[in-house]
Amino acid sequence: MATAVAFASGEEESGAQGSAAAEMMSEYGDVWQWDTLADFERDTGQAISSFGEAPMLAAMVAAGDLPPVEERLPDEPLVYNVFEGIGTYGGTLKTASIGTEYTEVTPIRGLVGAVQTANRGPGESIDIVPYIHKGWEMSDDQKTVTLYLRRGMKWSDGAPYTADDVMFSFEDFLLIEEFPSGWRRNGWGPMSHAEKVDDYTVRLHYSDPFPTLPGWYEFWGGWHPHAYPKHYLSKYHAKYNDNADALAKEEGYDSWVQAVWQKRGGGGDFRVEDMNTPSVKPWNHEEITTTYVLHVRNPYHFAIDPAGNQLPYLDRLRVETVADSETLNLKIIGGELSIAALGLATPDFPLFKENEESGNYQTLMWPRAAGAESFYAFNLTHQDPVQREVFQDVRFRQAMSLAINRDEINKVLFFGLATPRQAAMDPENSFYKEEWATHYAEYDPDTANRLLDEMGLERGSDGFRLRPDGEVLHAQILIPLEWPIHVAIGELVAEYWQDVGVKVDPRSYSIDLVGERLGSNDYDIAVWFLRRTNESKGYLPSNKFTSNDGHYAPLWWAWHHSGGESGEEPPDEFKDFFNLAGQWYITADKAERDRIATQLFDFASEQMLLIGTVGYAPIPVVVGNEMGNVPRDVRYIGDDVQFLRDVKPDQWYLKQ
Amino acid sequence: MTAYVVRRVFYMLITLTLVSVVGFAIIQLPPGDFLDTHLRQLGITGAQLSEEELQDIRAYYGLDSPGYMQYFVWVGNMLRGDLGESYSYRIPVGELVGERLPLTVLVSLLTIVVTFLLAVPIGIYSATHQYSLGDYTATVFGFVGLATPNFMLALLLMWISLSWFGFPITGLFSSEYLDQPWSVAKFLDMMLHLPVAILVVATGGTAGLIRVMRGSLLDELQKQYVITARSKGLEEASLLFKYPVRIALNPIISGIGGVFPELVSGTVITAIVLNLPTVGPLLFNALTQEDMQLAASIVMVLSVLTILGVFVSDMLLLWLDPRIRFGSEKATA
Repeated sequence: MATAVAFASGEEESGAQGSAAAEMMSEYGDVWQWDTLADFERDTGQAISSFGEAPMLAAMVAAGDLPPVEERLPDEPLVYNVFEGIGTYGGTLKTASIGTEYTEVTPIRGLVGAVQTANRGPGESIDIVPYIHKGWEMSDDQKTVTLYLRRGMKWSDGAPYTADDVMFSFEDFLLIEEFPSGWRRNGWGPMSHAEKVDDYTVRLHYSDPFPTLPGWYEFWGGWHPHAYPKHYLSKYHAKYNDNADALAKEEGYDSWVQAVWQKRGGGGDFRVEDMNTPSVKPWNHEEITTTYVLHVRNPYHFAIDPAGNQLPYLDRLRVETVADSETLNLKIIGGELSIAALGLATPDFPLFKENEESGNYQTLMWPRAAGAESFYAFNLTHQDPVQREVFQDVRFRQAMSLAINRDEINKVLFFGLATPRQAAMDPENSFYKEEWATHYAEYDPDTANRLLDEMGLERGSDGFRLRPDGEVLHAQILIPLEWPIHVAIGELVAEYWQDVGVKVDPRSYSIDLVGERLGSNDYDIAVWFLRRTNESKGYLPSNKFTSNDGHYAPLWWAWHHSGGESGEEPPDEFKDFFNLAGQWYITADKAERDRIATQLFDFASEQMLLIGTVGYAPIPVVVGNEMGNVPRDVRYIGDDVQFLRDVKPDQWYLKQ
Repeated sequence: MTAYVVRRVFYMLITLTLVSVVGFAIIQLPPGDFLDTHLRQLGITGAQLSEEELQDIRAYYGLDSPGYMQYFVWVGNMLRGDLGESYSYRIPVGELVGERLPLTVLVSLLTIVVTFLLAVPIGIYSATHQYSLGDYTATVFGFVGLATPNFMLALLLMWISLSWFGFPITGLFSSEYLDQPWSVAKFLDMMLHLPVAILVVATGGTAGLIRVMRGSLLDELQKQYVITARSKGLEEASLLFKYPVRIALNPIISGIGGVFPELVSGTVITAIVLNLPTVGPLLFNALTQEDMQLAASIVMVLSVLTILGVFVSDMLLLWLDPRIRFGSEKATA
């Protein structure tokens, strides 16, 4: 029996590889994947004639509840290379997350993407590779993208996954008025229309060139599926069912629109309403409770390993919800979890390391794609005109940056493992300039004091500097307390600033209140992460420098976005900057685009819009010794690479 | 007596109505709603929506109607036994609360029992042996217990159990039983985890109760009737338990009604730290996420329980203390 053979060889493999050292490579080389079976056979000269499947599914096939694996797999399955070796089937992966909002983050969030990032080892480039779709092709004018689907691919209920499902998601969902348009913009960019070429080919048309599209898909694809199951949803859709409204009401919805909206499933936007909605994820929801969420394997998953075994290896994933990070830490050192990554803090690294043996796990440090763990943005459009006058003086921002002892932050909070730097883009970018990362990033309190003295900010009787109107210059850092690292860095930074006589309080609030105050321009200093700085990732519009997400000038951005209707008119140089930022995304020519980027980030750097601290800090990732095929070194972890998605959870397995 | 009960039930209904209005209003007070909160959280990971798009989605969830309309819809549904659906879980509130309520009640009741079993004897001992070594010891431990934040104690015990016994206590169940249906093994597993949880939650309450018990008993012991009884040669033990202790128990019994909500909501931080599958953390989450339906319904359920608790404690007092019984009979006569 083919299954048994593949299975047995898998066990040998895992036994041999499990004892090997940290530097491990599959016998199939360090190829990330073969987009289709044909590619695999061409590249390796090997043929896969029969497919393996999980014992759990084999039992269902034997009982007649499921068609055989050959029929479930697409004609053109993705051949996913394995990190160490062929795995063994079965078992439940146990992990945990803090709070309910993020239970889907670990580790399956983002597995609905049409494309994925190949997160190779350190020093390797970040490439975007096909995942759900077989491939894509951009037109020369960058206005059209052609998506190629996998022939014979199926939804998790066995129905064919075709161009009709992709078309349904546009023509009957994203592009029609009944549904909010924001999801269209987020998931697909500024699209004009979709065109079905044949059952497995769809062409998407854009009105402007969209050169960053693959990266955009890569990022948003993790949240917004690129196809919805037409066969399942059409009975709830008024276009296909005249009684859709009645059906919706029968099921407890207000209207057919609401029913489709909530049942479409799959995205990262809301919890899955209807667990029966088919998906193409490796695992689907099986049970949702207030203490854990259970996912069970999708019998129709479209990927196989190089030995022809259908992935995923793991039967189930259990994501436990814990309310507190200390509880999570105890679970980890108690050895309760198979893998834990998100929500772990760098300062806890020694705790994890100390208990490795008793907890039977290994602690890895994976760098996070953050150009700044915390950056500070002084509100240039502050409500108070005097405060604003101070903040708008670039010398002030320069002084504040010079006053920060980045090396100390790195030593105290990150064991010296992070990179002290200014808030700047990823060094890997083609248009990168080293000076952006070093601009006023050295620790020089004397110069900082001199700059502040030059500005005329004299010290009052208590040593704190006074504003031009004679009041004490007092500013608050608005810190979301949900992110302990901002709190920790914020306390140090506030001290550095006080050392040069600027009275700064780090204040932590719930993220809701922080958002409220940022939205109503009621703050002095904002703090956030600087992520998404790698150009190949493409989703540049939400870059902190070139959008209001940086929170450095909310009223000016409001003016820009509303075409002058609300907010306040920015100075000309900022108007140019905002317009240029818009131009950046739709410039098809690479050289021209890089020229614009250089101009943009020169301005941002010179203006000190965002003041950085340290970046690329590694975060602890705890991997149980029973886990196989989890890489030891990665290029990045974080939302630049969709959390754990890009270390291929499909091919993780539990060693027997 | 019947009239008294009927009157009490009537008051209870009025109280519940008021609680529902005030509770709903307070939960509505923070700026924004569930969607704001949710999208802000999504914003961390990159989602962006404009205000008008948000408005569209808000309409889907019925969050665009004015607050009082949302209230009436909610109350109307509740009267029909429908507690609504949680925005964040997309699961009916009844199921969510139902999943956690039995364990909450179990933990709470056991905690009350443990608290009483510890506090009452120690309190009596302290009062009858005032300023003795035992009294001072009880006082010191009582104050330490009162002053130690419960969550701190919880963290300590969790760490001790892990590092000394190699037995992690991070919840009521071991990892392998978490997603399993109830079985004897699962029950035994829970019994292993329960003592720490109950001990932690009980310490704070015990310390306070010891003080109350000690204080009120001391008051009683100085009264004339005790001296008289003692001078007439009544045996010390029967004297103590027949009169002063019964009276001294009054403030404790009347506090039962307040103990329950305190256990559910007052120990939220402990429950969060201990990762207990009780209603407290659920309520906490619902509030931080502005999950209106869930939060308001939990508050309602808790209110009902509190009011019932107060009712029960009043009934107990009636039974325990003849003075109240006769007083109320006179009043209704």
